[in-house]
Amino acid sequence: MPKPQPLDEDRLYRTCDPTGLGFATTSELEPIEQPPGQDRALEALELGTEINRQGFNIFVLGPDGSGKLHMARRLIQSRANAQPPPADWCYLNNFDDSSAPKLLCLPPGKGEQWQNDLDELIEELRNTIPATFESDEYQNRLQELQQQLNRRQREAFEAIQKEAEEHGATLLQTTSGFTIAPIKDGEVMEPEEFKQLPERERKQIQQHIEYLQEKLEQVAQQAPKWRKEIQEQVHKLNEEMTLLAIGHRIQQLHKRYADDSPVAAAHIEAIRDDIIENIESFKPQDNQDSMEAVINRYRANLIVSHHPDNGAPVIYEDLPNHQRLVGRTEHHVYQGALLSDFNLIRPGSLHQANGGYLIVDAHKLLSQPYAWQSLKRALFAKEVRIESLEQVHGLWSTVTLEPEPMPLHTKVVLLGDRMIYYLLLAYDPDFPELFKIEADIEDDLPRDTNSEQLYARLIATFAAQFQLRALSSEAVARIIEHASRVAEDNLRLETGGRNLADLLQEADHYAEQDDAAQLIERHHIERTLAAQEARAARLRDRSKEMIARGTLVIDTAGRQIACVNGLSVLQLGNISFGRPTRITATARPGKGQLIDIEREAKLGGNLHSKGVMILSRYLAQRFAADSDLSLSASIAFEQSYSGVDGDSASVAELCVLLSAIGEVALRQDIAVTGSINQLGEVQAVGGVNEKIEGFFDICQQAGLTGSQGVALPAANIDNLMLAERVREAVAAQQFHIFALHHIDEAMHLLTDMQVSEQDSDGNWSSGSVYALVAARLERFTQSREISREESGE
Amino acid sequence: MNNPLSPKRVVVLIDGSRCSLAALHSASELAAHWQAELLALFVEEQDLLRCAGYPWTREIGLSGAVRRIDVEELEASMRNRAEQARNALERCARSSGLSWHLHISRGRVVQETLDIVQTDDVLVLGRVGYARARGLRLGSTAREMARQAPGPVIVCEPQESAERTQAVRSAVLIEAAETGLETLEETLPLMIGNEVLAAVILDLSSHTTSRSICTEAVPKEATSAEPSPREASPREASPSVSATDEAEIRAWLQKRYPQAKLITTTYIGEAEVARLVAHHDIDRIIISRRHPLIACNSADSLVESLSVPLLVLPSRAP
Repeated sequence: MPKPQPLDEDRLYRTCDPTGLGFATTSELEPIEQPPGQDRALEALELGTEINRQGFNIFVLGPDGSGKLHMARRLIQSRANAQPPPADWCYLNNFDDSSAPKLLCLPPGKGEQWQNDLDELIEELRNTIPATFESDEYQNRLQELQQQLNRRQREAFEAIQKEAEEHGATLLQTTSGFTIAPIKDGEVMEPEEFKQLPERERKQIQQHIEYLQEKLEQVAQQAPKWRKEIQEQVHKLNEEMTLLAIGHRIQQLHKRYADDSPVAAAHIEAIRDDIIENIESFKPQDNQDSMEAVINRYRANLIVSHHPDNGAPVIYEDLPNHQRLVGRTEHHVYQGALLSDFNLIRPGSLHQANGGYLIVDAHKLLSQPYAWQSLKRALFAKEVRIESLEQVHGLWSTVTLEPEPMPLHTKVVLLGDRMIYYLLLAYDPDFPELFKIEADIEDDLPRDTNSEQLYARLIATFAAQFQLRALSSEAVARIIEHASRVAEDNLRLETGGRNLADLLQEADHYAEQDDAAQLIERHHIERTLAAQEARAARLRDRSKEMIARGTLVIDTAGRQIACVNGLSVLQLGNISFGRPTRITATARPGKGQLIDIEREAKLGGNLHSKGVMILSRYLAQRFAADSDLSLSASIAFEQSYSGVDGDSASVAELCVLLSAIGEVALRQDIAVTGSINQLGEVQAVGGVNEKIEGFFDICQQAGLTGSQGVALPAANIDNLMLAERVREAVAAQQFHIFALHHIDEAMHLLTDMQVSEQDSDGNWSSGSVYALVAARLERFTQSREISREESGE
Repeated sequence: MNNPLSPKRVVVLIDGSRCSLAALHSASELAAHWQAELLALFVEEQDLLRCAGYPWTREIGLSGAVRRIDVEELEASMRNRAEQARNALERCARSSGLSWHLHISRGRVVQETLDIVQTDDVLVLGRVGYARARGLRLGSTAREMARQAPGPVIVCEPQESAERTQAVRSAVLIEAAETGLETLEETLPLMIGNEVLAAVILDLSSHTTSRSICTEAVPKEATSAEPSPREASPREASPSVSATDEAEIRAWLQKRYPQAKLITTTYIGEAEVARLVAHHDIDRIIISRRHPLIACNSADSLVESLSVPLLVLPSRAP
């Protein structure tokens, strides 16, 4: 197997040619409607907005900062603009049951008119009706009725009085009623005197008086009936006068709304009836509170109104708690009690988004108590009920409002990361019922000439959106290169989201400082990237310093048995950096165990263990295919005090193990990364750019010898987007990057020795690495057999 | 104000009814104003007590409920009401530092009152007592007193209790005869502190002929019948005479009450008075007994149509 050759410089980075972009500055570019490369998500969003069926709500899933809200809002807004505005909604007093306010639906734009019409009506009532009651006409007629009642009573009693007088008796007034007594000479007769009368006369008088008493009784019993009759007539008079005063206005309003909304027309009628019923409150008096209380019930509480020229509403709820979603009822304190009426109903975002779209962040929604339940309930029921959480959970038992629920036709768009989506899908059976459309946002997009141009337009769009300077084509090219680096793929670009926006804004700031430059140039971008890296590099620098001082032992020159430089990546927030790690191994005779010290110390993750198991099986299969492997070996990551995971060190681990067994020295100036399979093939790993740069920086710190380099899986070549300093060193033959396909190539590179093939008898060519390994293993087998014989097994 | 002409004694009739308590309140205010003595009369009705003596007598309540009347119970109830009246009186008098006296007698109200009231006394009474219940706006006692009392009579409204802050606007209804000025003169000592003479209503129709039409004994039918305009027209005064009267009165007013309005009318009925009261925002009506509205026995309907207190001045003429 030939020794791996260093890669050419042009394989390490894919530059973007500014001249190929076809513009000088981004000011020449058309803004882009939608971010490039999101066809899948956009199609899903479009479908979701088109299907008008229950449950076809949308979940937009994508990583944080990928511009989900911006994208969803933009697409939905353009669709909503083309849709007709939904209805206006008002809450009205329910005159039959004021605790259950009625809901009125009106064509868009009519809600405000309706509210104004009612306000005008109220203003008119406030002035006209009291004036009507003050009028001479009303007063006179009322007095006539009162006199009529008085006259009726008086006449009835006078008739009795007259009859009594005819029979020698009189009607006497007592404090609580009447009585009849016999009279003589205008005075009530003394009972003693009465007794003197002849018996016949006495009897006659007594009979008359008893008869009159009975008659009086009848009259007295009729009095309430008369009063009631008069009250009815007063009521009729009130009705008549009220209708004369405001009937015309009421009729006019009734006519105006009769066609569009029968409910509104019926409400006008109910108001008229209520005025007549509560007419007493309109009578002029010192205290106007009772009239105000009555007429306030005639108002309309307009909770949702739309301009007829606008499209469907698109609402983003930034605090999706229960109250803000389904609305709430406010209370005012009156004499220590909490009171509410329909005027205090406040809409929620579901009301406002009815007939349109409601965008909610899934994480925020789920972190608000009961908000997710409330949203699901509204979507299932297809109506919004304004209920407080206390009501929903039965903790509030005092009388409160139960407004008529609003029929709901809104499309809910949830935004969230993939984890939330898949967790909901797995654990909430309601979720797939209600959110049938998933719009999955891509993390990156393929890089080609076309997409580079689209990316440039995206940059131009951001620049315009944030009112930044235009960018030169060189600057754009640099950003495209950076996007490839972030995507860790020179064939792909990271989709520009928050990171891109942040980069542009920071670069604009540097351009401003740079004598107010007209354009954002390439060097502004470089400065931004360097500054971003430097800000996050505290730990990296500390680590470099510890290596320089020898606190962390890393050799970058010479050879050593059972010791190799592996590469690891540390991820801290958005920034990650690579760092070499010293991996060592031991080998002695044993029963075929391979001790992964990281795992034994519970510092290794499952993936790391898997890698070690694979390499141990590869080793056993390669060197003891038909017999026991008499080996007891161990592998450790030196000076690693926190956990290790991933299998990207398995190539290095196998190399160091072979070195330990065969007692072959390995080059310390070459660091190795890559995972291995049971066939000994080297497979791709992540973070290669950081790893290479991490080792390069350490080498540079110690002084470049010209022989140093990094070996990585050949499959990772497409991921290379190396920093300029590395590329320059490679161009100057000061640093080398090697691509590996098989473990044998790695051993060849690290030992500068023939690795060798097995001949048909299973013998390794002499002097090769594997011959040394096989020979040592043979010695282990023998020494194990001797010790077994000695111990008499 | 201690006018030598102002009344020395205020007599108030109390029967325990709501209206009579309002009258007591007004009376104590007046007495305080004039620094006069307050005499309250409570009459235990002889007729009622006698009536209770009959075994078959029943009281029919306004609700139609019937119950037996017992003499002892009735007497106890009367004593009780008298006691209440005394308490009310004491309260009123104490607050204004009046000298007062409660006179309790047994007999018939009108006679008992006439026996006690003298020419110099101002008699105050509610317009209607318990008889309100049977639809009366003016009780028989008030009616009789307005006609027969030797001194001025003030007929109070049931609900006139609220504290007044504004001035009381009075209107005097005077007859156009030569007695009109007399009436005005008589009014003067009876005006109280915050009272202003807002209007003088000069009734030209009452000139000369009025006396001849109205005699002391007017047939009963005439009481409630309103004089129709047609009936009134032949009684219209000749312009020359009324012009003289008017000028005199105007001069009198100019001297004493320049702000008072002189309203002349050729027809005065209770409806017209009610209209003028409402229109000029009048709080009290003052009228002389010789005015045809009282003299012709239409006081009932006048009071019925009014809802302000009425002050009836005694006629000095024989």
